[in-house]
Amino acid sequence: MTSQRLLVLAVVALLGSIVHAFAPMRPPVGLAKISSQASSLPTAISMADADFLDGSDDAQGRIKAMVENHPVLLFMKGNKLFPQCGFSNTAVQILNSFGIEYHSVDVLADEGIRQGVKDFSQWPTIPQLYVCGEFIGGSDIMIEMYQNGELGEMIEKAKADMI
Amino acid sequence: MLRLAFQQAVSIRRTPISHRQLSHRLSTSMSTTEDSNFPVQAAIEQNLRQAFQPLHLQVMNESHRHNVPKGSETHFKVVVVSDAFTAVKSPVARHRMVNAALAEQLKGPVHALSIVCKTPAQWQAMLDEQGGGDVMIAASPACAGGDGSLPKRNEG
Repeated sequence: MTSQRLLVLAVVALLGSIVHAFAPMRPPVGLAKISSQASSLPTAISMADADFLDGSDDAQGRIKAMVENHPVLLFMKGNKLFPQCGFSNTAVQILNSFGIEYHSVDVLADEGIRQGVKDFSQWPTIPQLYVCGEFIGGSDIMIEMYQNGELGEMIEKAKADMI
Repeated sequence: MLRLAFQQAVSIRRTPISHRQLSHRLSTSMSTTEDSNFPVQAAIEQNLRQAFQPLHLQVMNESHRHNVPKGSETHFKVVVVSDAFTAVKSPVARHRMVNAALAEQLKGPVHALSIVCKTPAQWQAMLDEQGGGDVMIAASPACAGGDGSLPKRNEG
């Protein structure tokens, strides 16, 4: 290896260790919930209840956070590079055509999210698109709104939220 | 009489088909599906008819285009033309009405549902735009293999 490469590697390693020092890995969600809840709830909650606490409430909370944090958010099957469903692929292709950064969530990787997002949106199928916190619909609606220009307008507004 | 003629003039395929096939296809979809091999299709048609009193209704089982066993009733496309949508402008709201009518099927066997819902005026505009005779409805996208939650075509 050249000395230049070694220097780059050393810098990267140093930076990496600094980042880890200031941003430690999150504890497993279950344990975090137990510790934060222990102070406000009766001590009747034991470690055995951890499994139940990681159920639907947690999924709804996580989904809400995602919807609020990402101006353009797509719940889909598979991911942007490898959609695992024709309808999800249609949604991806439409969003790709705008050339924007958008966040996609693979519901197949998390059964809690998969069912949770159907409850959260009160919508029975995947994919599901959120723009600026608003539920837009599935692939049929995306196609319709893409064709009549409405989706483009919404994406423009969302771009303002993306710094 | 006029309404019947209007209905007969409409075909929901990507390619135009002959008038004789048109009538056959439309009569199949407009009449009650008594074929006990396709109970889900029958239930969908009944629920949509009850909820929307549609001017035109087409329920298409698209399961054969997906990675599921032959005879499955898991993937559907529905075309609903109804005055019920006139007061409802938003596409999401319209789709929610259809979802509500088919809630039982969606909780059960129906894995995917593609919806086309139009008011009679919109439908007529589509007919006019496409030169009358046949209405082209875009086909649903090709299957991307599936997510593994349903039995596959070559299994079972």
